[in-house]
Amino acid sequence: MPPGVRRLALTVHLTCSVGWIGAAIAYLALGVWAATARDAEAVRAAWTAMEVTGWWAIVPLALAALASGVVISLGTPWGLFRHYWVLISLALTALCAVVLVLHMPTVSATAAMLRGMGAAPGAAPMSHGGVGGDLFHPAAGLIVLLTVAVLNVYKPRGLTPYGWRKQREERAATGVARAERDAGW
Amino acid sequence: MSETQPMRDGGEQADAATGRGPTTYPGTPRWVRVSVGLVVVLVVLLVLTTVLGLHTPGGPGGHGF
Repeated sequence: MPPGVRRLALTVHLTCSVGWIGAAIAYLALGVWAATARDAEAVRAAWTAMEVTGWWAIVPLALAALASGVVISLGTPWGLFRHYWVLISLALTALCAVVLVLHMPTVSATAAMLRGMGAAPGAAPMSHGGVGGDLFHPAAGLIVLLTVAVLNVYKPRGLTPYGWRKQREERAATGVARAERDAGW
Repeated sequence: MSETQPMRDGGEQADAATGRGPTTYPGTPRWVRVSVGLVVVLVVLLVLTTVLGLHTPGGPGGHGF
């Protein structure tokens, strides 16, 4: 991958990844607000904001972070399956993205239900005690995303069996090329 | 991802005379084994608390806490 393209992909990946974490923190704050608010209007507003934040910020950022991470991995010597930290980061990111996409329709349904309750003609003051907030998913997701961030920064050493085999093949090829060059071929 | 380039893993065990690495796979790093063990423990705890009903209902679908 040319250096310019690599830097562009890296910029996109970093921006989307950090943005995903920031959006998840905002979502968690809304979830806490929805879980603790006593005002029905506030609960309904929080769930609507969670729905919008999820679909318009978190999901696009998650998919972009996953796609740009794959592009960078395949375009650099790190590879996608050669190093454990890359492989684990990919698995955790994909897991988060899948759970997120599967979870968001439930958030939309809850937000729609609350809006419907508020829009009902002659609706009495509502009790949203059974709805609460959405704390588990954003909290668990944040823990996983921060784990991925730590892995990406520290890059702990460790080759997968595939990476080790590829490294040996490259070393052998380098050795042959050097021997041919030294022999004047 | 990274600006830096990957280092040659297993190089610390390389033969100084030949510059070649070990002929057999050095094995899964300890940090990977420890991490996998922690994840397994967490999943088991999560399943146990769910089965035993220690999770309080709440959140969409009632499967959060």
